[in-house]
Amino acid sequence: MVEHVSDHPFVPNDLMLDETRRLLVITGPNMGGKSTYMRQAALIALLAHTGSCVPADEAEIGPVDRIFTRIGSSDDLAGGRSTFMVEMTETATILHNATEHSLVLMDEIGRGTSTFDGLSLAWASAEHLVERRAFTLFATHYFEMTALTEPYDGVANVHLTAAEHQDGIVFMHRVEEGPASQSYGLQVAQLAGVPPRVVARAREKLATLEQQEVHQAGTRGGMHEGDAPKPQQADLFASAPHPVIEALEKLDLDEISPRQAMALLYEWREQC
Amino acid sequence: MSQASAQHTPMMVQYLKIKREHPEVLLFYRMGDFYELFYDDAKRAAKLLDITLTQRGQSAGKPIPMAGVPYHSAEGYLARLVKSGESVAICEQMSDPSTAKGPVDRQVVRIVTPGTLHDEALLDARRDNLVLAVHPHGERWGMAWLELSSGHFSVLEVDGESDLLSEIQRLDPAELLAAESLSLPPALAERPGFRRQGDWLFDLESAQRLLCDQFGVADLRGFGCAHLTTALTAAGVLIDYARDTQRSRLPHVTGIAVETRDEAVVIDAASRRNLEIDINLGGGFENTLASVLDTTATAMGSRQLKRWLNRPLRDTAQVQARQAAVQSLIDDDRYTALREPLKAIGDIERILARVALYSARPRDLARLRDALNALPALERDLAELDDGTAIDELKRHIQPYPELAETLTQALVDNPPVVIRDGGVIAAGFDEELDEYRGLAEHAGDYLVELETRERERTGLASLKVGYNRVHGYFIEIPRAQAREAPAEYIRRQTLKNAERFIIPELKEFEDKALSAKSRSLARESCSTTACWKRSTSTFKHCRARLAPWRPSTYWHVSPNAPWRWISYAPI
Repeated sequence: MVEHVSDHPFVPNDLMLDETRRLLVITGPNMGGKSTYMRQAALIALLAHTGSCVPADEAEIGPVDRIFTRIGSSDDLAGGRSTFMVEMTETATILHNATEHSLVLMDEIGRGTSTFDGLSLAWASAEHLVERRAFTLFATHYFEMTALTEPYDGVANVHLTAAEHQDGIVFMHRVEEGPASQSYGLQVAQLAGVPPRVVARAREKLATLEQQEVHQAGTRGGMHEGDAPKPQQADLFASAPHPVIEALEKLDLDEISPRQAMALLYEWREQC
Repeated sequence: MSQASAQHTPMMVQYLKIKREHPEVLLFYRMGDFYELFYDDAKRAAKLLDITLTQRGQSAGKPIPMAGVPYHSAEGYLARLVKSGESVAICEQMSDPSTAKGPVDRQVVRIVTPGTLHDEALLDARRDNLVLAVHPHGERWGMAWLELSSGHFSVLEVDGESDLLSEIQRLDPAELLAAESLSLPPALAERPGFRRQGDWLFDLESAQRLLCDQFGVADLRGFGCAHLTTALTAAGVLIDYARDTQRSRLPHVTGIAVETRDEAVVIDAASRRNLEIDINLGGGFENTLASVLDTTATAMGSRQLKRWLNRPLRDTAQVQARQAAVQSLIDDDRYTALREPLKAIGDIERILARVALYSARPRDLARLRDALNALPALERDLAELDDGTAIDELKRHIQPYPELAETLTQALVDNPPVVIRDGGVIAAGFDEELDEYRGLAEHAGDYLVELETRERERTGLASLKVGYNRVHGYFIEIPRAQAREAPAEYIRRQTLKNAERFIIPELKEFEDKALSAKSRSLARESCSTTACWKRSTSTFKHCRARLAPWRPSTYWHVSPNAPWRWISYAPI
């Protein structure tokens, strides 16, 4: 469909999912082709199951019992639901119903909320899907997700490639093994016509954040522990305080009962 | 109210009586060359159609708001109303206004609703047009849907609201029926074309009775759906609704197909939207999977392609059978030879439905003729494919209908007009009586000149004239001076100052024929056309059974512009 409407040549890509490779974490720059890559997988599976030929050099597909997609986001204004609510409703359907014969596409789960919430939700959803053994393509901009290969066997990393070119960016749209190294968010912003002053300021801010990341790197563990290559771009939340500390600061100690305090202690220990 | 209606004009009394039977829909009330709408209908239609709202005199002491559309261009207005989800009851004059006493007898002959369309002008040729009914039983939902434009009738039961939503999104009905008291998610209740039906109609027993009557069977076991009681309840309401709106027994709805959810790859409503299978995120049809793939030769094929894309199958055997058939057609580009005969066959599915519903236009019959004449070529081309795939099976269902093809070829002119009203549909040489009427109407002048010459010779009166006036009809006029010389069989008709006018039996007979020749030729023509319809209908049941397995096969398409080889895949 992209090819049908676009003048640029379409870059064909391979996709391989099997017993030992059930969940792919897809990283790469915005506009790099993550969504296209996932959509093409779903449409090819769909075509195959209608008995049609499929656009590929070679394909071995199926059997698929359900196709789920959590792609794009649209406010359901008429229904009075926010983007995030729509996203979560759709995610819930998927998590409840996916089986080991299902094809699941998850695009940028959790981006509708704060970084911590979003990442935690994405991580937990991915874990759930791994346990359900559904064939999953999981596109995300949380680099922390690439560490999912560590605890789980059926998980692999792939990324969409791009190259920087004199502060600009060239998208290769090619899928390669392993996690992405950079997100190129600022370059895409520039491409999209965000005022140069804003982009420049963002570059400054990025530098400060990366500075802080270096300071804290030694002291913080958590999800991006392990030997996954450390992303060069800092995750924004690296500079934010730990959620437990945040919660503690907000807490009015005079207002809670000893019993509630005890419950909170247990809850926080879960989060550590 | 009774006092008010006593003051209404007789016509408005009749109007109000008919309107009371159709409170929910717009009433197109035929008055001569116009369909008129009154009161609130008029206001609503004026707004929707952007036509002038005027007044028609007074009745019961108040002015009557009125809006109208000319009957010969009503179709365009109907299309717009139906598109905006309105239903329209068409109320026609049932007797000749010139002979009727008081208001002409009028009856609603059909209710045009968004989901029960079969007129070519109101339908999108490449998309299905469905009416669907739902009925719940606990967590389980029964669904029944009817494609009146082809006669396909199906039922399905699903568990839970989200499955219901996903199936309704797949089928995308133009009209949705549910019980009055049923609470439905807003996504359904706010659909255009949503219609409430009385609770009492959703009754299993009467549904079973109605369905058995429709299919002419003693029970429904033969269709494999007797156990689907929830879906059958919905099916009963649906068939009742369709019969009522069409004022027809729907002779082309002869069976019911059962779908099960496990047969197909399940795609939930959100995923379906995201994948843009045949509707894009903006609600349009461009840049969707279907629009990219659709190179089908016929509109039937296009509709089938969308049905298939919307319902991928899980049964490997079925998928492989389709695939083998497609592959065999792609090999050596064999499908290209089939495109022309398939194009000639056109949209025979919908044409046959219109034939069955007696709404076929002369052009439908002409296209049926062309389709039947194209069948032998298709049969020949297919015979060359001998590949052991599903196509072999289909081949056995192709059978030409030489007799009907012959009849239609003889009966119809090459390019008949859109409507039968003005005649010119039936070819010369098909019906002797019709030819005679037409001859009379066309050759009246010649005959009169011939008669005049003959009578002058016979009587020797050189100033004898044959003439015509509207009051006395045809006559022979002889100047007064010579009137006495008129032969004995001349009967005096009229006396003028200077002339006498006579009639003779031969001229009288001619007058009777000639005056009515035009209307008789039209009546006879409509008779002959009906005869063609009837012959088509009688062949139709048989033909439809043969057509059924063909439904899938019109999906013969291969994308010629794909940059890669389109390959078959190997199911694991």
